Amino acid sequence: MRNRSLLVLTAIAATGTLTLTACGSRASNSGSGGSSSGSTTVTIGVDAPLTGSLSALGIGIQNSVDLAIKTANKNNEVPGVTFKIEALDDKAAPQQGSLNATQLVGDSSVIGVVGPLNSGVALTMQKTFNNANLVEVSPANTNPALTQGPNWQTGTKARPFASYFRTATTDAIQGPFAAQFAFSTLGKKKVFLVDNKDAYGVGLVGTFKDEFTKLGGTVAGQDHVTSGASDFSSTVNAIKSSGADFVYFGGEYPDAAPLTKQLKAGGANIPVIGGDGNYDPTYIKLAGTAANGDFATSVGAPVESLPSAQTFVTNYKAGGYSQAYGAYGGYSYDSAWAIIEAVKAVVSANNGKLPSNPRQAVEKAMSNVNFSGVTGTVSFDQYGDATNKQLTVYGVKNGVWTTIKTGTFSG
Amino acid sequence: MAGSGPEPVEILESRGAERRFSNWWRRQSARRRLTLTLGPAALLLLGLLTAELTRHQPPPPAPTAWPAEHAAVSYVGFAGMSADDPAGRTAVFLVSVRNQDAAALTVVQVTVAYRGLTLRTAPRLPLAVQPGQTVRIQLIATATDCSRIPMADELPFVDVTFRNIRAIGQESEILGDRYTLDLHRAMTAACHRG
Repeated sequence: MRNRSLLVLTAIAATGTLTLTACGSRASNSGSGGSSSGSTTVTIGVDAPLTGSLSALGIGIQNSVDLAIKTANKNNEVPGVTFKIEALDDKAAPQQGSLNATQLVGDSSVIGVVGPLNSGVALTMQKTFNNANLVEVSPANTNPALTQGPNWQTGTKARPFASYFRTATTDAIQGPFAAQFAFSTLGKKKVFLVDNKDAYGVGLVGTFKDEFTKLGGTVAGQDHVTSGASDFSSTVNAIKSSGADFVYFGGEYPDAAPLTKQLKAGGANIPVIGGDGNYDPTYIKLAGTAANGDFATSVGAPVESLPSAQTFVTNYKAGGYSQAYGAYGGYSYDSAWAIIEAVKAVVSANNGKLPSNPRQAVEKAMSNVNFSGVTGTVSFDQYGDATNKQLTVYGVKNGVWTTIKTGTFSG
Repeated sequence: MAGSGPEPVEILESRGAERRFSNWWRRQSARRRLTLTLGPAALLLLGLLTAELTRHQPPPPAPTAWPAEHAAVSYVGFAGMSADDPAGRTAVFLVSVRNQDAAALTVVQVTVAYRGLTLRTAPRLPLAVQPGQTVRIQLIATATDCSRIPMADELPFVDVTFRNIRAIGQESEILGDRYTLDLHRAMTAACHRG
């Protein structure tokens, strides 16, 4: 009886030990976020719309930065330095973006910021960051003026803020690329232009219009909508009576989706083409079957097609994030990693330690950042623009965004 | 009120079950008791071992890149109007293609979007490009309908179709300002504009 009891106890003890061992090994892997042996903790800020109609894109940005930080800490990427994230919600509102910029500058642990999503928001943040030499890297801003100044279109390029960088390509390429696609590939000759009156929408429509008319296309009409409006009937009527064979929309999917829905419901079965602001599954969700046949360009090549992105995609899935990484996930990861690389260079040049006031040094180091990222080689030109300039045309087929073609700027 | 009714019933049932299990356990032979004890433990051990082995499986080998993603196309320059076309409607542009992949790549086709322009290449395609190799390709463009050739657009591109062992895919190559300028100048000459 005693022997039998001993056997039972041994079996139970062995099982328990094994269970605890297994639990222990799982915890050490999953807890990669804060397991670095670093002694100095610095913050990478995130500014993006985390609530509201554009939150699907904003949360994808936040999660992708979070993944970059966890990966850096897990790999002890910068010995002696641990990274943490501080994400602020700008609600896609310029005023909130400005407040967030002040808050992030005021936190001395913040060493760099990823964001924002909207070019209009970025315009209100740049000066605040620049005054504090706090590096800002946007994965999504496409307005050319942010890096090349207000007179970029007349050939007078001047970088307004040394602290501003972006991994996304600009509307100086996106608009013309869409125009070439519409005119030459689709054979469309008459466009109706619509924008949402904000910096991104107006700028994108401007670059599209310029190239489309140079190609020989004509503008049948133009209108402006108010972001957040639900009734687009006057714009729909104007489009129908113009005889346009497609619509080019500058803005984001919360406005573009009801516009295309009301357009098709009104009997005008012509495609709506937009920019990266339209490229999100929510566009199709909101527009329903009316989205079929529409197109959007977006920054970069499809992440799933990039061999360099396979690890990111796998780790994002394993990370258990409830929202998709979205259109800017790969660029957000690369934006965060660019800051991490700059910090690494600063630490390396300072005898393995972070200087007491590292922001200026990090800003300087950003110009020399060059690494193989999720979206390809990541580096910046003299304006702070990404040197890797890729775009993709997507089309809605049977309720799903499908890749039509990718373009690479090598000039 | 909450909890005052069902709680005693649950406790009584639990004690009854405990007693019934205890009686049943005592009725089992020693060997059967050992089997009943070690069986689930062995199963648990097997499960944990399987989970551990699966977790540490090496990742699958990286797939061969989509062809266009590792092909670098660059504009080399304008090679002049073609001497083979006495009408002076044919211009020659030079591009280079570098294969940055570890697998062989084939340039299958190059087309231009302008409907008034026909394009052929030298050497003829398809053209294999070995890993690490750079090849130069002449784009020989002939103006066939000048009314359908834009003269002031800013972002003309060529569509290049690539193939590797994994896939066949097309990419638009936006060759930049020098190409744009050379193209417009050449087509202005070809179409006797200016």
